[in-house]
Amino acid sequence: MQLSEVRAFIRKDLVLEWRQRATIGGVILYLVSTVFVAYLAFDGLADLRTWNALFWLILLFAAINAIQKSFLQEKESQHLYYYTLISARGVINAKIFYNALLMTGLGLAGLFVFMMFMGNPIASFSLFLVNMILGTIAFATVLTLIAAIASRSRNNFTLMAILGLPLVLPLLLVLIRLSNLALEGASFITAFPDLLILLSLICITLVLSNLLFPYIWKE
Amino acid sequence: MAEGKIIVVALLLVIIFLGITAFLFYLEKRIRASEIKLKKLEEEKNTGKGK
Amino acid sequence: MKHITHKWWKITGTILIVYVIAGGFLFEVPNLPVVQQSIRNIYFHVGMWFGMLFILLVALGFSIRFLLYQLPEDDMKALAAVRTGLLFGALGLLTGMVWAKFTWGAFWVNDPKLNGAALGMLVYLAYMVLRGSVEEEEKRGRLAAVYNIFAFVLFFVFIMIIPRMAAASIHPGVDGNPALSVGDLAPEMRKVFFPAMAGWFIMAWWLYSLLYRSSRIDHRISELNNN
Repeated sequence: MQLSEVRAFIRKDLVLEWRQRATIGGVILYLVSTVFVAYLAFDGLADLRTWNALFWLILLFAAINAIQKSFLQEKESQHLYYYTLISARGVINAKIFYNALLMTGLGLAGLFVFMMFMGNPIASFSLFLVNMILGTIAFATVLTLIAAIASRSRNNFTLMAILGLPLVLPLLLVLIRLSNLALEGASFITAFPDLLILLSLICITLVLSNLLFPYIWKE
Repeated sequence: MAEGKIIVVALLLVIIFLGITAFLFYLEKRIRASEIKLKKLEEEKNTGKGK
Repeated sequence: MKHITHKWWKITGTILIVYVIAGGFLFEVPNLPVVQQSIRNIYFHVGMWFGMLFILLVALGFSIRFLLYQLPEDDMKALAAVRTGLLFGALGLLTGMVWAKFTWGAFWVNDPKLNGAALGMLVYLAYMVLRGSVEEEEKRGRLAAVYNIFAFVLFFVFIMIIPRMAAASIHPGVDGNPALSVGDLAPEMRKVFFPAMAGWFIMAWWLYSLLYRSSRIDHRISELNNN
């Protein structure tokens, strides 16, 4: 794996995304409309904890939707072409990086929309932001490998959710806990152990993805 | 009187468990029989190919 | 094929469990508050969880070996182990729920350890669904093995980390292990507890071997028919 090929692959994905603006637009619209539906269904939301859980749930489903297509939008023959060009590790790292980028963007957009509807209840905004960026990156690292597995099977649309949800659940619990801390205005020092857990989860999934993806990629 | 009843419960459970293991041993026997049979069939097929 | 002709360890397992049932129900146990006599469930409930973790570890081993050497047997072994693990997990949940109803007043309480257990079941059910949705045998084995390894590690992280992080868990066992620490066990209970663990491990291995052998017979029959 070389850094230059990873970089080129990420650039390719970005260009592709730009050319198919409708798909990314679709994901953003999905995010906005779920937030709006939640806003209507809960009649405004007074409770901070509910706000927080809802925010993460919506982000999670947006993540599943967005990452699902990372191996589906291209045809099998294109995969074969990449196979000759770039190593498996290059592909997975590029995809993870790209998905992390995408997810961070989506997370920020989601937060913006949320705050537009429901105001700003966050006491320690910087902690919340750091947590959210780490969290979206973690979503990307876990779900990219799952998307790769699901894309190789028959009913890949349902499979992505079935395979992915139980695995992101631990992550989700850590994230909700951390952002609850942020909502209550905790400092970075009190949140440090949880941030460490989050970082180590990201590291574990990154290492596992790098080890396991070559076995999915070869055909 | 009430003390003695737990023995009945334990005995019943032991019997149920022994029934399960008996079934497992029976399965074991059938599996072994099919394994031997399969081995013969495979050998026949292989020698048939050799000719 | 030596293990086929050697029945002794299966008989040992059977005797152990018969002893555990008899001893578990009849021997004296310390009468603790809240749990009272239901502490006897420990021989069965904890046995199910240890048996599950043990057989899932076996599955993990075979999945890793399958990725390394691509022998179809390893994939079948991993599948058989996961199926056994699911059975033990389901029984662990059942025995746990009965126990929870008695001590905590409800079949299910929102506790990190219980949720971790339920999550494990979901993960391995997803593994079965994944197997069901890939046709080609070799590819199915590869994808399933990759998922098994990925899922096992995350599942393990979950049951180790989350209970520690949560404010409090009413379920016993300190180090995030969804069981108990053996040191807390009353000495008179150990003479049933350890045979129970050994017995359940043997039962798990026995079930696993039966499942594996029957699936290999299926495989060989279809191969005979195809050639």
